[in-house]
Amino acid sequence: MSKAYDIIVIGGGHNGLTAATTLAKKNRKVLLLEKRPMLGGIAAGEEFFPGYSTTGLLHDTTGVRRDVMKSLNLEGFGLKVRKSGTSISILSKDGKSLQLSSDVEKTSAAIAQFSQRDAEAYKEYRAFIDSISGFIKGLLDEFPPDLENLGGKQLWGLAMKALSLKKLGKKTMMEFLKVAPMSVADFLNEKFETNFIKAGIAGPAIYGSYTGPWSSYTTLNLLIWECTASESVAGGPQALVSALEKAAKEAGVEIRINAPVDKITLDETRKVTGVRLASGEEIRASLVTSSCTPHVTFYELLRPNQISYALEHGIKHYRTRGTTAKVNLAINKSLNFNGVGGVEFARTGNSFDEMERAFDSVKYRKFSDEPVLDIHVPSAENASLAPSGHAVVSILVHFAPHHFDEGWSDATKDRLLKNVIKTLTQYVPDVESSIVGSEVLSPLDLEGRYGLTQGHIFHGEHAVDQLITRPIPSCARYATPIEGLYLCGSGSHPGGGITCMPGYLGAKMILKNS
Amino acid sequence: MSQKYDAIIIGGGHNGLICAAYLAKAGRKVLVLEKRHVLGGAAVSEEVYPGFTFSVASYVVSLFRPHIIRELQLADHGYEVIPMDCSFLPLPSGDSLARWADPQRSRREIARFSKKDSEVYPEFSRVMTHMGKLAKGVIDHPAPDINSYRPSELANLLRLGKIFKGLGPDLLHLNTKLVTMSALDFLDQWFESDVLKAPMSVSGIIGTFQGVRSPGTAYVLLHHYMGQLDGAFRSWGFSKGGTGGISMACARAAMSYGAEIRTEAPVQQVIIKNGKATGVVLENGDELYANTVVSNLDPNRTYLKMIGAENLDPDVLKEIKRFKLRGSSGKVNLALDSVPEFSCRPGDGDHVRGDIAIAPSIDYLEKAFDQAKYGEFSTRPYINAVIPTLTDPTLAPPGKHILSCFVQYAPYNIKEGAENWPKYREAFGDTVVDTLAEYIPGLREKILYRQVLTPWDIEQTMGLTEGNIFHGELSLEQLLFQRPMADFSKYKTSVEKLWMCGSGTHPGGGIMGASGELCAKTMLTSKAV
Repeated sequence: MSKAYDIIVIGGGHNGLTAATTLAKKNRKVLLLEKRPMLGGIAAGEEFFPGYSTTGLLHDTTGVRRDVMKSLNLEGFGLKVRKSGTSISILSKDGKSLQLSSDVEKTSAAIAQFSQRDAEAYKEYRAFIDSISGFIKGLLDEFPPDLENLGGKQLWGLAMKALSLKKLGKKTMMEFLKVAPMSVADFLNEKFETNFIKAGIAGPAIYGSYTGPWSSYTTLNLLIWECTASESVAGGPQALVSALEKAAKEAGVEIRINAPVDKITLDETRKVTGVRLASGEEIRASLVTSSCTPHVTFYELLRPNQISYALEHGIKHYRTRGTTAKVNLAINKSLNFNGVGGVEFARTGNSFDEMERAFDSVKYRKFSDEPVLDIHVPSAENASLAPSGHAVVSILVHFAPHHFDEGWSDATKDRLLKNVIKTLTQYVPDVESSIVGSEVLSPLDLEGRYGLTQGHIFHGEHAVDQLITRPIPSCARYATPIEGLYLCGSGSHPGGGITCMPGYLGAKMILKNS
Repeated sequence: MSQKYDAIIIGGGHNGLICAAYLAKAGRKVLVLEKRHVLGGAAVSEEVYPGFTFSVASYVVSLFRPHIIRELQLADHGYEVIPMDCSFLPLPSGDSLARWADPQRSRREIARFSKKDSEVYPEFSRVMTHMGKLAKGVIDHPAPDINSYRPSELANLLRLGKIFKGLGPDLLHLNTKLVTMSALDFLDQWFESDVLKAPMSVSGIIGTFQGVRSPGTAYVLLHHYMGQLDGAFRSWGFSKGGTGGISMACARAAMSYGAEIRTEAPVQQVIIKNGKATGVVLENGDELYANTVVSNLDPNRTYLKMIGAENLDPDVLKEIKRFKLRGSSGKVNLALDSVPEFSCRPGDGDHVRGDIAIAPSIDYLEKAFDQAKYGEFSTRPYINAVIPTLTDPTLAPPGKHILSCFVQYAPYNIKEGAENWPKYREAFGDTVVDTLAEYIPGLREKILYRQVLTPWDIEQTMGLTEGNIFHGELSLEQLLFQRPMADFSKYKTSVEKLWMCGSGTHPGGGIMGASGELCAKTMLTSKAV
């Protein structure tokens, strides 16, 4: 019996699409299966209230790798990188706001209105980021080292990595080793003096994590974000998904939506033979790559007796505590944030103590009274997402626990919404009266809708022990202990966020191995 | 100027005394200068109340390096540590958990809370002991220098590389986890019961400004697991005669090798001529000269007081100002009229002869930490208490007892400013007594005398900057080749002929003696003295 496909890709999010296209471009016969009625996963735009749409669960497309765009010719399929520079508004409670952009001089000049010292410090900060970004990208955007089989070749590779660190020069290397383990609060307190600016810069260090700004190692997460951020994608995540879909079809990927996978099928030697859909249909392929979370892949798509104790144990202890909720607001006017109109991205936080207090709540299985908001107004870029003159505000809310003592219900979600509106009102005084519709997604909802284990937006925490050997050492290089099964989602190196890198590297590993 | 020394050591703590002993044993002429009237620094015994000998600050010992005991023949000079057999956790519910040196006995206790945990417990101890042995390869040698290509440095790196390669991928990953995870996340991988995890996780936070959920604290968990007492891992003990007994044994050893020791001789500053340390000036104006000077003080005091900010290169000054020493703990010592009894498990049996933890749940510990983050001392703190008089009755009059309590969190930088700590000293003491009284009814009536040391007091009396008991936080960026700073991590300082031998150098705090020993050995092998 001839095999129908070379490779089946499970999950049609940005990573699944990237993996499928990368494989199909190398003449593999690829089938992509998506359980939802649309492609995109957490990068898919959705109508959440009649006439109002988002451009994706996540907002940030600054991490989409240029290598992937080029390799898949995404610009040829309509993807546009914004040239003007996306700016992020950092908001203070006493009405101040600051625009952070990739233009260092412009940002520094904006900071100078608040503090000359901070303006200088910002330039030094950016210069430090520039000096280490090559090293960080080298760590993230290549296959992780093979620690499972430490032979001469692997040790040589490790030595080269170590040398690339030394190549930074002694001063930069020592500074990196000094600051990477620090808490982001300690790190930024050393540099800056203005609280709301420090808090605004620190945002990405704690988004999606089980840490507050006073937790050790949060600096490393900030550095990783800064080093991999460039200009964002016009049209947001949804536009990326559209280009990926076109590229996939052009490359010959067969795409099926509404096709939830029930199980990955194995033969008696535990080799992959294909998948069985929820409908009962069986599809054969000797290779399967999953962009689902590691938990879903190993616990739901395989039977308990098909994975070893070591694998089960390892995945069980891979930490995916969801701490983020999503609130989408339909607004009947255009909004000003601290008096500034046309804002597209904004961050609240105000001070490290306020951010830390927001985090404290999840330790006690509660959501924050005053959450830290990561705000996107997609309608500011694309007016067609809302009725004329109206706006869409899409908010990632930190922190809200998956394991919530009171239990997630319409009533508790309503309270979360109230906390978000109360927080937002401090920056947008007239927001409450302008809301015509809303949607609240708790971590439990995110798990249900997107298959995110415990609602974790990155398919697992970005903790140091969950980088490089992500998700666990035996699966860190995309191949798994199950022959023929690969991973290509955010639960693999280099991790979550809209980067397309796990899908790209995951596919490359398949090509390398076959 | 009557005589010139080969080395003057500033500070007569246990590390200073050990350093002096090694140098004197090698035939060097050594003088130790201690500002207080007693030796020992933070490892000190004092009769604060008539008839009662308190281990004023440090109160238990575990990490002391056994080869130092042998090499300096400390046992001949009175070093004697009595092992503790039990870790006791009273619970507000009226229940309690005692963990014993005997694993079978511990398993039976743990099984009352979780059968699964009781089965995993021995395996956990085995793995941690294994990792502890690995850590020994790190703490018993000077920190590797990653910037040097010298053969000896490459050999040191290779030695570490071999140890790590020998671990295999699983233990290597475990090691990464230990260095970077929170103590609680690490324990969560093994255990399910809060009653077990809470008292175990606190080893990860003792002396740090971190909570049990803070990343990086799992490493400190190991730091405390490395305790090696006469070859038996994971055993803590009391020093005979109080913790000062260890310091006195070190002092007697040093003197037996010819070292000279002066108390009540506070040093004002190090004398620096042409960039080299040539001696010290005492607060009374006397000048003493030596070929080398060794500071047992913490990095902050060594650089900013002994050398002086005005004598520092701007880069060095910047680095030393980055060194974090946030103290987070206080100490309350109680002289008691009779033995304290816990309502959940009465009597003065073996269960109260070890350490006693007030750490009833993870949430309790985290709430205690949260208050400290925002500048208050915990209204219900984590307390680690011992009743040393049950083991060593010579410390108090017959029938009387001492309850020695380590208390966390008491942040040095309270909201009102550290200098306002004296205003809160008694309130802090009351908090500790109130917390304990919830488990020990009638405690208040037994108290004959109460000594309260806030972090501010610890700084004032012992000279530990910000009251940090480890001479600097044990966070990764302040360990190994970065302790206390990248360019001067091998006991050297930015001033020629001035060395450091305190806990602010590799391998860090606790009564290990390793810093003093490794400093002396580094000085001797490099022929600096």
